[in-house]
Amino acid sequence: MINAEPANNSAEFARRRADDDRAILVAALKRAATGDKNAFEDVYRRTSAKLFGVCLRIFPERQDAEEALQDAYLTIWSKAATFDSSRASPITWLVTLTRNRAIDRLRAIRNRGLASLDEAVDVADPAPLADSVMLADEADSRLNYCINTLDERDAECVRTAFLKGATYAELATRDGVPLGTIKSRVRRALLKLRECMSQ
Amino acid sequence: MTTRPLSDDDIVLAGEAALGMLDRAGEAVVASRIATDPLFAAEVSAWQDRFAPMLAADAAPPPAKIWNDIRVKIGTVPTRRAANTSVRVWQSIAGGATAVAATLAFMLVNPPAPRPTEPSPTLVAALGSETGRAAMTAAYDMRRGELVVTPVAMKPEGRFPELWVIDASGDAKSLGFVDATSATRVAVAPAMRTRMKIGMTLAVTLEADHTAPHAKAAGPVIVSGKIEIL
Repeated sequence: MINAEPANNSAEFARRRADDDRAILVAALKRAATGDKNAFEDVYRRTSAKLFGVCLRIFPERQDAEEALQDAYLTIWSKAATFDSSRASPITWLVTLTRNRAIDRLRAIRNRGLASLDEAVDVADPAPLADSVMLADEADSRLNYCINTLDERDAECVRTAFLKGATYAELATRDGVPLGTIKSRVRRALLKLRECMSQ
Repeated sequence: MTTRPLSDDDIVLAGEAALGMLDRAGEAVVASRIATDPLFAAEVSAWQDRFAPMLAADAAPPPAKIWNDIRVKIGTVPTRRAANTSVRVWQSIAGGATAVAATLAFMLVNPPAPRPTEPSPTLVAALGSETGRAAMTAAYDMRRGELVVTPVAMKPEGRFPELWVIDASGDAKSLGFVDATSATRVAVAPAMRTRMKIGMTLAVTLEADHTAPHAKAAGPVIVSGKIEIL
């Protein structure tokens, strides 16, 4: 049957392509988990531009971002067996793992006194999403919408924690407020965000 | 499947875990909750999904040298001598401790070849509590598969300390019971030895009975710490 609605047709096409990409990535990760280096290379080819974008978002310096990316893939290689496709989408798993490794590195730099949270680049304005196939832009716009409904200070705490790895203590010191104040802000932000995002 | 809704505290804890705002003890609590409570585990995953768009950025192809370095480190590129390779791998690591740890983790999971003349690597973990009132050290002899845990300060309060090894996904497996006042030698079962590697978490819970190792922890986590290389 010929579909007379081109808009639906292209949306359907994009959705199917995303499903295909996801299935291919899941299969490649599972093979990489068994030590298949060709499969791991396939994972790298399919995701490295995306994950390098993530690293560049966390590290303003290109050199740091490159090291973080390499670190992330070595971790992906050693932890591929822990990926559970029934629990997480492959790209969320990869992005989360990359983000966590990068944040570990960022914190280590801060703990050596080489940088402070104050020097962190502005995280208030998330970059626009480029490839909607990898991360649904629907989810992106929903998160942006919901973050914008929060008190600006609450929202900033969540963004700085996620993108800069800020701890409660660091946020409290930076803002010159008691730890309890930051904890309340994060708690309030999380509960409001969850309610907003489940609507 | 349980239909008990998560409390606000659970939702916040799961969100804090996804943000990475918890301390080590908090992370261990989350790891054991993930292992025992599917609803909570799903909430942590859901938070990761919710936050992931914050990392959405323009895709940027990395320089070719990144993949070349990764290939060398995972051993795709054949090298003349394994011993030399490890030295060069170490020297080529420009990054900080995390890169070193990642490489180490890889090397320990995938040892290049058995070289019996070398001393067996020892993995260690310092287990602490959120309050700082309980602590334990652990040393693991990889060749023998033997773990020695030594309590520094521990009040079991009439219950029995059970040792767990928890992987990154929060899956906890019991290593059996340990003594609260003196060092315990734990022979790690061969099937469990693959879990004894860098980055895994060791944790101790206080359990009401000690007739047999549990499938799941029921008691509170009193100390926890990540496995590292000595």
